[in-house]
Amino acid sequence: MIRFACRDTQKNLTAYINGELERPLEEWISRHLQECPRCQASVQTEKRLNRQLESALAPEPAPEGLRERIMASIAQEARAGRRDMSWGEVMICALSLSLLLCFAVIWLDGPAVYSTLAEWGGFVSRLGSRLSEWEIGGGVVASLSVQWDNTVGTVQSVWNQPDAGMVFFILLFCFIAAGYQWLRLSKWTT
Amino acid sequence: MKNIIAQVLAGNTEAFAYIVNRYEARIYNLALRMLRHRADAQDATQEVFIKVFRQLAHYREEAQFSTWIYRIATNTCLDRIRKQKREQRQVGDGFVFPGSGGETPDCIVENRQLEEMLLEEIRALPDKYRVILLLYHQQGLSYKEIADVLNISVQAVGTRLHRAKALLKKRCKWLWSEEEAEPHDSVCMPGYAKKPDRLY
Repeated sequence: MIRFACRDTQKNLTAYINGELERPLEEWISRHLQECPRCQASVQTEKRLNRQLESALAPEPAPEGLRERIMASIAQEARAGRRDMSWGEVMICALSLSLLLCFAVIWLDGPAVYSTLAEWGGFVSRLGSRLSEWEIGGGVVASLSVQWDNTVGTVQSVWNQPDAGMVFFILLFCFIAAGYQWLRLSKWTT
Repeated sequence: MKNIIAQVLAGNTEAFAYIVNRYEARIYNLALRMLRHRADAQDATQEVFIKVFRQLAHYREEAQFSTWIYRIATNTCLDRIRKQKREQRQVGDGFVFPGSGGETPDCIVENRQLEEMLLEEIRALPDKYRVILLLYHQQGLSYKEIADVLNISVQAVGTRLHRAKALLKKRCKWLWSEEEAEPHDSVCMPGYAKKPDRLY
């Protein structure tokens, strides 16, 4: 019973000394400490370590010139305009870019886009057949070519649906906004 | 702080000096004990403020500003440690240990040696323990604030801090061994007799 109490006290000793325990547990440990010299000694050891830690880790002034160096780099950042955009700015940019791309696609004309895509697919297909002649992974390229044709066909059929333009615009907008966030997070890891 | 942030976002770069003045020493000291090299600590401090400047638009007031800046600082330091480990750099030089006033030269030397030994043990702690030890004992953050900074539970903070200190106690028995007639702090470490006020 006593050993159990000691073990619980030892486990919570740091939080107890730091005043971070819930009231009932704190009171329970206080009572236990009054009757357990071994745990009392642990409290003294812990407190001594705290004093030594705080002395060893005492802060020192920042080096001279560091502040100026930081402010100079901040001024440089500001001049270069390297500041992350706020959500509002991201939305406006994504909106503008999406509209621009939508107009570009309309201007290019949908069927013209498919034929370009199909040409690329044809190139992959030709590459696949040539590679299969040489027996180097041609099968993989050929299957890619088939998949490419299927994808182009799917895009084409979706594009012919009513409101396809709106769906395209919304997808583009989400893609740009999410892409920006992904880049930002992967860059800064905060 | 809200006003300062608004000014910086509006393009007043000079207003950022307020943030630098307020957090420069804290971030530098945290980086110094995390990264060990003075030059690295200075570079890390600069990097932290650049990140703060770049990401200021994303700061949300649900979190305290100090929590947010500490989060950036700890992530920056941990990233640098990971990079250092990859590069397998030699570490250990460039330290200066603070002395406390009113000591005899012998005591100063002995205290610094003891502090150096203790710091050596702190350096040897796993990163996840060391960062909590520094945030609590050097930066004076509460368990809740540390939990917010590291995005872990308050209970996890308590557990890690307890384990960090258990490791230190195990490794630093020389600081209070029973064989010694008097503990070091009462004989030759007057600076240790009185617990310093919470920093900042």
